[in-house]
Amino acid sequence: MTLLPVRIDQFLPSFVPHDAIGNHVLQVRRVLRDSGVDSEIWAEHIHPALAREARPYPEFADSGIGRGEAILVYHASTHSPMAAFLGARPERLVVDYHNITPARFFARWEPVAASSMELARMELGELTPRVELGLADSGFNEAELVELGYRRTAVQPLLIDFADYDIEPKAQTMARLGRARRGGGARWLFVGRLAPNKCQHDVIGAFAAYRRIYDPAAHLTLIGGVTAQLYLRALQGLVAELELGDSVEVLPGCPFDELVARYRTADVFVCLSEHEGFCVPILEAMHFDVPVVAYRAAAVPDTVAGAGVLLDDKDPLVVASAVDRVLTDNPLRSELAKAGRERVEEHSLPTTSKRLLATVSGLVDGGGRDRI
Amino acid sequence: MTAARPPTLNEEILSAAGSHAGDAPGYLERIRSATGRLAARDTSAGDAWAALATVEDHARVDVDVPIASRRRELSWLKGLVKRLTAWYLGYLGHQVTLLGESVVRFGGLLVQRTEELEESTGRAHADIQALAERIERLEHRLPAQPAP
Repeated sequence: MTLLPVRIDQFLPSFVPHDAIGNHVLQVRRVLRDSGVDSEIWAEHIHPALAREARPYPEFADSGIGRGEAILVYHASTHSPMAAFLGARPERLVVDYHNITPARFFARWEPVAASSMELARMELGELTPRVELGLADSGFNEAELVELGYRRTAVQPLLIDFADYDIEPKAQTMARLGRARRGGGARWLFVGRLAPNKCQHDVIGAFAAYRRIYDPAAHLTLIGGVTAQLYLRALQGLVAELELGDSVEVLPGCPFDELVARYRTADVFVCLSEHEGFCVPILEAMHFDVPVVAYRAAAVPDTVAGAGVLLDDKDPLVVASAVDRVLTDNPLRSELAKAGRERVEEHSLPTTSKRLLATVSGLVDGGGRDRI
Repeated sequence: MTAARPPTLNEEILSAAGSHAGDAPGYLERIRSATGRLAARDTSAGDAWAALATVEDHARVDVDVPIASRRRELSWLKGLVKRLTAWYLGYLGHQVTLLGESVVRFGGLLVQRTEELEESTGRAHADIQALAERIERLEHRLPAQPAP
């Protein structure tokens, strides 16, 4: 019989819709509640669309919740006063680490964000003696926790409901993208915040090489919220400098159904990030049978796990050649699609939910230091 | 004799890339140079020039405010506000850009002067060291003086 704690509360600095961590937190709460565990979400910044799902975290102190019987889970990914708040609480504490981007990526584009990332790492380190268990989305993230001195760690994949992606995008959106497809040319796609660690500049560079050498009608779409405005401007400058004109589309604000439409009409997903804690869009691409070409860095090899083409070199010509190979070698594309579907199945909600409950049950009765 | 190992997918990709290396060498070099300029730069290791380059990156104030929005009416509203305030933002932005550029020029001079000082201090330190060694050698040559 699985023994579960009475109450588990989750804390996260920023709770926004259609965000990997926000979705994960909602799914974790659902799984816990379905299993009879009381669970609430507490956040520092709550998007108005999620106002009914979470409460401001300072209210936790006066809520009468916790005091001994609760386990608090802190979703660490950025600097927040919440870390110190939780560190001073008497309840048992678990950190779910979603990775903090190294400050060096932001130093030149967004110095304030870079300082914030340095602070976030310090906060994560300061929590070490208080944390009973450090959870991580990937082996890569887990290794960072171990390096910081976390004694007990485990990999807990993000809870993703891939059924959310099986919606029908607006007919007019599909018609517009369908017309563009009929115009010819391979459709490249990358999804991820417009941030220097995601290296969209390298994707644009590789795409420019591909257009010049293999397919002058090719098209690239970059989707993601803006983290560094200056970096976005630099990307737009790069598109102009390489004379790519309208062949590159940057969509900083993309509704979810449009995102689905873009996946459905993409030919290849190209990820040249130098730092990723997991990279959910890789699995999203696999869900839509879009072949993945990615640079081997950080957690990307863990996420791809043989279901995509991993490159050790991201020279524009090498990436362009890899994309050409994937798009012209039909047996390879079918093989990648099959492997991708299997990879998505490994991260299916029932599988990851089961794993979460096993992890949580290990926390009952103190769990023993090395049970997980 | 052992059979040759078939090339891996990555080796085949590298070979395909190599076969196209001469197709557009000038353009490929332009791509490499342009993307290289946007790569991460380490400013944490006390590199004053890199820190100054960051100031320079931020010295140019962009008054072309983004107006994209998920909601079309909001995007329209932002566009209207942008048009109405363009003269004001342009005037302000120009002055802030000038201030930024002046700070960069001043910072560049300071870093350059500091480097020159570091270099001359290093030379002076070496001269003093050589003099100290010379005095020591001379003292060894002198006969011991009787105590007064």
